[in-house]
Amino acid sequence: MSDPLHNSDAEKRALQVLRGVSSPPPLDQQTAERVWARMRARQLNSKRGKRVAAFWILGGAVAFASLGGWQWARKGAQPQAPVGVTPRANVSSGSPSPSPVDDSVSAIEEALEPEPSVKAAPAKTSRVPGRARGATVPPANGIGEADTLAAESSLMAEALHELRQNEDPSRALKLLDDYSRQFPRGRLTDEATLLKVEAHLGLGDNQSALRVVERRAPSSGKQNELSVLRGELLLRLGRTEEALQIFEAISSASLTRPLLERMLFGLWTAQRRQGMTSAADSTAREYLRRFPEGRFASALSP
Amino acid sequence: VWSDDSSAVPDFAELYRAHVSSVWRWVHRLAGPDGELEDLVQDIFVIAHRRLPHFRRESAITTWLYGITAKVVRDHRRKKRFRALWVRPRQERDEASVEAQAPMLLEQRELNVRVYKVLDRLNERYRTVLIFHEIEGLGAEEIATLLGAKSSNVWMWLHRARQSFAKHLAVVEQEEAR
Repeated sequence: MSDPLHNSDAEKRALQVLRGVSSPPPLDQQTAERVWARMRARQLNSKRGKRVAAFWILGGAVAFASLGGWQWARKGAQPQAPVGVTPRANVSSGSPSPSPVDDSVSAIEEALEPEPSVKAAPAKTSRVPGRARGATVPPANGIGEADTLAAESSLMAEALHELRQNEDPSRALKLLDDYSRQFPRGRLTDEATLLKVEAHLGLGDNQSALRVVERRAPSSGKQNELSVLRGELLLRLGRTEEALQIFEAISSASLTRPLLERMLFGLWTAQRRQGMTSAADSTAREYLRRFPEGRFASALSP
Repeated sequence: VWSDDSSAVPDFAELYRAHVSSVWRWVHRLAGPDGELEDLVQDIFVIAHRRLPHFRRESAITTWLYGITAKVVRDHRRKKRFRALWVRPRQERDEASVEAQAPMLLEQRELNVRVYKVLDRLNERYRTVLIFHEIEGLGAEEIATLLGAKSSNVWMWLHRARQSFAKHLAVVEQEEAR
C-alpha cells in the first residue's frame, strides 16, 4: 500500500515551504580572507599558549620534585606521595593542555576519532536487501512499506550504478522500465524519471528524453527540475521559442541554486538564439553576479 | 602563510581555497538562520588543519571535510539548545548574523526560522538529507558521497524525511496558531 502522506497535498505543501528557504549569501573574497587571517592568528596564539603552558607545567614539575626530594631528605627514608603526577601526564606525553581558546575545537576533535572515513570502517551489514542482477523484486502489494521502499531503492541504486559507473544506459533503461512496471505508483518515481532522461541522453536520444519529461511534468513533485530539463531538451532539439517560454515562466519560481544556474544559462541561450541581445546581456549579468565562478561563467563573460 | 608549520601546510592553503565556499554553504544550511557562520567555518578549518597530516585519503576529501563540518555544527546546535534553556534568545544576536546583513524581507526571515524550527525536530540524518536535497539541490549520489552512505539509503531517508517534515510542520503551525 502506498503511504497516505506520499504525494499528499500536505507533503507537497510542506516541500514548497521547505524549498522557499532563502539562499545563503555567497562567500565573498573579503570574508574568506578574514576567516583565514583570524584562523591564522588563533593558531599562532594557540601555539604560543601551548609553549607557555608547557613551560609552566615543566617548571612546576621540577619545583615540586625538588621540594619533594628536599622533604624526603629531611624526613629520612619516609616515602612520599608520587611527585608531580599531574604534570607528568602532560610533560611526558608531549601534549600540554590546550589553551582555553581551543577547548571547543578539541572536544570536537576527540569526538572525531577515529577519522571519519567510511571506507576504512568495516562494512556494515545493510538493512536494504541487495538485489542480484536479474533477480525479481517482489511486487509492492505483498510486502510491508519498509521492504517496498528498500526494494525500490535497491532497484534504483542498481540502475544508477549501471548508468554512471558501468556507463551502460541501455541496461539502466531496462532496469528503470522494470521499476516503472513494478512500482507504478512508486515513491521514487520522480528520481526514476530523471534517471530515464539521463539514460536516453546517454544514448543520444533527445526526443525520447523529452517524451519522458513531458509525460511526467504536470503532477510531479519535482516540477521545477523537470521544467528546466524540458527547456534544456527543447533547446537541444532546436525548439528555441518553446524553450524560451518555459525558462521565462520558471524564472520567477523559487529554485535551488543548481537549478537556478541551469535556468539562467538556458534562458540566456534561448534569448541569444532569438536575437534578444539586451535581454541576453541582462541575463548574463545576473548569472555572473550570482555565479561568478559557475560552470557556464566563461561562456557568459563579455 | 603558516610559515612556522610543517611541509603539509601549502596543501592546507590549497584545501582552504578550494573548499571554503562549500564549507560556508554547508554550515549555512546545516546551522540555520542563527548560526555563527564565520566562527563555525573557522573552527572547521582549524580542526582540518590539525588533522590534515592524518588524513588517509581513503575517502573523498569532501567527505572528510563534511564529516568535520557536520560534527562542528552539531556541537554548536547542541550548545545553542543548552544555552536556550538558561538565556532568553536575543533579537540583536540574529541581526548581527551575516545573513541579516543583506536586506531580507521579514516574511522570508520568518519562513526561514519556521523551516529550521521544523527541521530541528527531525532525526539528524533526515534533517541532513532533506536540507541537502530539497534546499541545496544535491542529488542522492552527491549526498551519498558526502555522508559516506549508499545512494539507496539516501533515497529511503529522503522519503521518510519528507513525511516526517510534513507531520512536524503541521504541528508547528498548530502551535503557532494558538
